[in-house]
Amino acid sequence: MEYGIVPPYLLHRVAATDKPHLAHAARAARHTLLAPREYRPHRVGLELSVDGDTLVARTEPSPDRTIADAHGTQTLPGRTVRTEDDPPVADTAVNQAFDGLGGTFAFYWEAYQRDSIDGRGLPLDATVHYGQDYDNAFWNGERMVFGDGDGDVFVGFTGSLTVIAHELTHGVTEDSGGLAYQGQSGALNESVSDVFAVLTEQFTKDQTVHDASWLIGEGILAPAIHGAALRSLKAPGTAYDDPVLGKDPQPATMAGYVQTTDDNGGVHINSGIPNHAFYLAAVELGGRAWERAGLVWYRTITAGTLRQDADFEAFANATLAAAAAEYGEEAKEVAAVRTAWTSVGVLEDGQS
Amino acid sequence: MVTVTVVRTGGFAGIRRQWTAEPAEPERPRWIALIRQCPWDEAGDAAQAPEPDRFTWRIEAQLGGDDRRAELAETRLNGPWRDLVAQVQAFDPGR
Repeated sequence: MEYGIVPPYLLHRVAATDKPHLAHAARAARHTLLAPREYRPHRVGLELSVDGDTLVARTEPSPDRTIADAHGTQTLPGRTVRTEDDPPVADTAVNQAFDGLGGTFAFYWEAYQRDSIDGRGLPLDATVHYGQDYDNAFWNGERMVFGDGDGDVFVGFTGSLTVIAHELTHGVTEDSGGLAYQGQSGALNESVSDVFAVLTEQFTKDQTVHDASWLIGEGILAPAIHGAALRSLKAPGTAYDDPVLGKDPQPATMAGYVQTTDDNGGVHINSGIPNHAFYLAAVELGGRAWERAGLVWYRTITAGTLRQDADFEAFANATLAAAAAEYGEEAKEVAAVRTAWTSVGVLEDGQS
Repeated sequence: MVTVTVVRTGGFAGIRRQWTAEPAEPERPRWIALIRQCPWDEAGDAAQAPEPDRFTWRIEAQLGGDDRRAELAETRLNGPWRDLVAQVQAFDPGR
């Protein structure tokens, strides 16, 4: 969605008007001018329309993106190659990163009225072409960093919106109090990123629970690799099965929980369990997953009451509390969430 | 007998990759030097909170009776560690 950027002098003129029929626009302009300033100006879009003889002005947050190019080095941030008001450039990775940051920003604002990662309009910075044959993408607490992949297994990380939304969601989780990146709380941290990654894609494509692929990282594996994607919330353990990579190791239920010291205690493996619980709750409720199941998960991580070392059971109970607060104790949303956690073996039957 | 095994886990993909080098006799002195220049005793230090989606590296070297093992966050894979990993990866295309 595009919003025009209104210069401050114009906002001041609208804000200062005493014409009664422009009172709403003047209020909106004053609100815009009063918005807290970050270290760089906070970007706000102003949407103007005419209703009868009234000028209607609505303010909307808009993203403030800067993409840099590391040119194959591991030096951050790299050289700036595209900023918010620039047109697309010749480099596809730059434009994909720019669009993915914008898509994720739009999702969080339009679905949950969250203004960027921190809820206060944090500028979204990214670096592309990081390292040589670098098989990864990550959020380092300040920016998104994308490798180009080695070409044999991975063909770049900017091509999937789910990668970008997953990484930015690590920022949202961190800003909301965090989940320690180890063991079960680490797997929950990973799962929350996967959940909002698929929701960002579903929102962008306006997909229902039945239209959606529920896959993470579709399109970033090289064509020779036997696999659709990296992870599946619908069917954990089935995303790939390849002679080089082996088989997707994710369990869908507690019966398959993997004890390991690798990968900070298997955070990318055991995330399959809470991932599948979310999928089951969303499918039970039907429709558009970000509206109800997604809202429950969003309230859960942003309530400020979740402990950093929460385990699966604590998180499950927190989702039940969030669902009850949002919809009422007897609501079908609460029942769907409880059934989901019971089905994956995190909660026992009859437990609340 | 000299064997070096490198296991990379984590990363956004969460895919485990492993590389192993078993250099032939004439190559061993060079490998032993590479292994010995790594700060094995310091590898477990500096317990900082892991960053999401970064790689974790496990490096194991077997030098007859002198076996060594280190686990490193990606941000600590620098200098001689990076050299050793690059050599193992060059030796073995990996799986």
